[in-house]
Amino acid sequence: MLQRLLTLLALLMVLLMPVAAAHAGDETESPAPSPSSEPAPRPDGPYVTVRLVDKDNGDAPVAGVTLTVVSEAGEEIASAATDADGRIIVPIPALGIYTVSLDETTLPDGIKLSASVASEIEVRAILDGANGGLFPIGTQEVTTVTFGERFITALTSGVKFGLIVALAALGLSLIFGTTGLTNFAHGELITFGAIMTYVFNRGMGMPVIVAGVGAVLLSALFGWVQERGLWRPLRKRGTGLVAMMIVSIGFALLLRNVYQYTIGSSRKSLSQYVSQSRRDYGPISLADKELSIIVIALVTIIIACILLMKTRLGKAMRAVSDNPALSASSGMRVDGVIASVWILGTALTGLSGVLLAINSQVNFLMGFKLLLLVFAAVTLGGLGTIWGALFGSMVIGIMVEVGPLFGVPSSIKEVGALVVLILVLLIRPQGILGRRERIG
Amino acid sequence: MTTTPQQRTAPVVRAARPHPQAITSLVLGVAGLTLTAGITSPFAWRKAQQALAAIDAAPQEHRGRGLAQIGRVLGILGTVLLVVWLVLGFATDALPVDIGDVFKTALNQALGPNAIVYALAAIGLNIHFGYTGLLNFGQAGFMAVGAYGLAVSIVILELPFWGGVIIALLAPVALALVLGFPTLRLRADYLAIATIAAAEILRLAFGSVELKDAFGGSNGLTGYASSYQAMNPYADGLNLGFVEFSRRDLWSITVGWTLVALSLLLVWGLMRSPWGRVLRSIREDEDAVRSLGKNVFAYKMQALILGGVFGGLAGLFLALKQASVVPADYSTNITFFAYTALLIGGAARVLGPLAGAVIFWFLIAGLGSFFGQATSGPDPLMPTFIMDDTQASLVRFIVTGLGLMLLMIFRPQGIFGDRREIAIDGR
Repeated sequence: MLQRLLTLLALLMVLLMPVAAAHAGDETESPAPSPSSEPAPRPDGPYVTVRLVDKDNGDAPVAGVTLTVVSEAGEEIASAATDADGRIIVPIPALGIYTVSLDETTLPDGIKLSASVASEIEVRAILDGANGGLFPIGTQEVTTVTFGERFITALTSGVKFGLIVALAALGLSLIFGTTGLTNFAHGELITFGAIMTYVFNRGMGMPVIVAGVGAVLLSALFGWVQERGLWRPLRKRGTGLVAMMIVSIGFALLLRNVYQYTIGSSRKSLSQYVSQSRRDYGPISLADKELSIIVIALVTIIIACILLMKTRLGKAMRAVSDNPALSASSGMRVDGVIASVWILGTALTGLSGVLLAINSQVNFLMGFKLLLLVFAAVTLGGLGTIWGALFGSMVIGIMVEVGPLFGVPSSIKEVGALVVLILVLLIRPQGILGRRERIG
Repeated sequence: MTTTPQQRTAPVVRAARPHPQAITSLVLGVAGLTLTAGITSPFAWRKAQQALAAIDAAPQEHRGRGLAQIGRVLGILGTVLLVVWLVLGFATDALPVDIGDVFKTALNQALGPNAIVYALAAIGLNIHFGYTGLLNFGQAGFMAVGAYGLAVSIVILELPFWGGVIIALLAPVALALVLGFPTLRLRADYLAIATIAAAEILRLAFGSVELKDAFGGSNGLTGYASSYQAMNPYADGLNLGFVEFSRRDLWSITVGWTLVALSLLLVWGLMRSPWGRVLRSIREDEDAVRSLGKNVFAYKMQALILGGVFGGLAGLFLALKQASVVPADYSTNITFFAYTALLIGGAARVLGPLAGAVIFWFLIAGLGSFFGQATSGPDPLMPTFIMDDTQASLVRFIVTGLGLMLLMIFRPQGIFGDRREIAIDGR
């Protein structure tokens, strides 16, 4: 048992090894601002230099906007238009506190300031040279104002998010169904897919798509190794399900910190598809990568469902999930079926991590943050049922993204989903599609 | 689904299995030479001796003599290494790591306010999990409402100090009632998911921008602890050489260990009473208790409330000792660490949480300090390509995770517990 655990750990370390290499040469995480071709002449005395960036657009510099510098006494020092690097340089007569304000009418066409940001900043001039400041503004497109359009946008990203959650939820539900394990390390399996994509992509220089495929295969392998090295021996020892749940918590803690140990705590971007402009498809506008994520997730889920409904193995999985003792006595290799469930389940979960990495960024906590939403989705649909997991995930995904339109504070939009989780337990604990006998 | 695919066959003695203690000794020996810098090596040595004795006594039943031999050799090597370390560390400056300082840090933390917070939280979990078998994974939520109950009522509502304390102790009761009604009728894993979700909801809500006026957002609340500090009777800190506490910490540990002692006394009394016996029987067989005409739901609710109040007390004490309430302190990790502490000491034992919290913090702080020192300085002991100082702070959590797994697999009763008294077989 211990030997297997150690082997598992050693294997994990070896798998994560290449990241260290990637980590070393990877300090340029955010897209580096393009150096301005003609640096403006620096004045001799004290001056204020402010860089205008759009934080809603990946901190891209905003050019051609008029900024006005006003002294503490309310005296206007100078106005200047930002250059290609979003920078202005204004000499000041004396040290002190200066206010830099923005002329909204000079913003580029088609965008306006979002409501939450101020249109001025303060710069404390304390140096007899450059007194720098960053002027982050949030922008939004002027055109999308109607509620309907905002609703459609939120709905689309809700569907996308829901599909990503659904892949993970399907994995969790399969594993729970066949083994009864409430796996608190499931979030870390999502992170595993994302981190492996990052390793293959940045560490080994593979294209993102190849890296993603590799990460899914490795996730499947990881699932199999986990089952053989940890969970099967535990079942053989007759370890109770509560004990296994606590073991999974320890495993999650272990994995999470090993991830942080190897890739650090900052967010990482993949090398391709980081920012893409959106295209219009009728009322919906989607970036190519978002469309691909939706299609890949949908196709995978459909294939997985067909596999479960039509093939012999799928039937065996459902049979074991329904009644393991009966399946064993009718001649099924229950352990073999459980191993394939782990392989399928972790591969699906790994894929959700890959898609999440492509959609946004890679971080050691990303899966852990998603874990409770996955639990909420699975509980909402009915723990251990396939259709329930899919249905619950879509509800949760859409609710999380659409919620802010109906007054859910957007900084805590996940809370709504968790409240639903508790409400479902109150009203219909077996879940919407679950059977009553599943609860005890 | 009522049946589970567990093969509950009794462990048949098969000649093909190596003796379990042989493997244990091997692992401890390897760990001693790598991760734990010799600390586990004496144990490896001892285990190997036991395993060898057992194997030699019944050679046809066990295999793994070779493993035990290797474990013994590694154990002896590691022990020698440990002695060399300690001598070098204590007696000379030959090592970049000051072992004396590591022990001092570890002991300080093991007796300090942090261990008290975990002890109180684990006492609550002991009532939930140890005695009643309720899998509460939301102890962080109970701690958070305790801490915020105090801070909000003093800072925002401007109540007097003791009013804040009373609210801090009532808030967990309210949370237990709200949480208990939907979930206590459910299976253990549902309760676990619901409580962990509730704790996260609370943490996110307390830290949200929209509720900044009431809870202070991610910066939290400060400025409520002045009355508590004013009650401090000590004029100076304490320095005994092997431990050192500042004036504030000295006051906190006085209050804290008194609270822990009173709590343990209360738990001891309650668990000897008929009420405590009903709780234990619920853990063993809920239906049997129900058939005796007891209201199982009411008993579970009372246990949830009582344990939750201890959680709230832990949060209250944490808020007082560091004079600020920050939502990040109440993440789910603190629940899991409190569980680890409880399981180290032994669930369903009155003194289990106390012993567990002290040992947990001794190990955590010792490991942190050791690896911190080993990776700092111009010529660190540990090459930087293996570990730098930010990574050094993670080693203890990796060890915690691994420790929790191994503990649950090999010794779920912890150090002092009784295996028959742990509610880990049900679901």
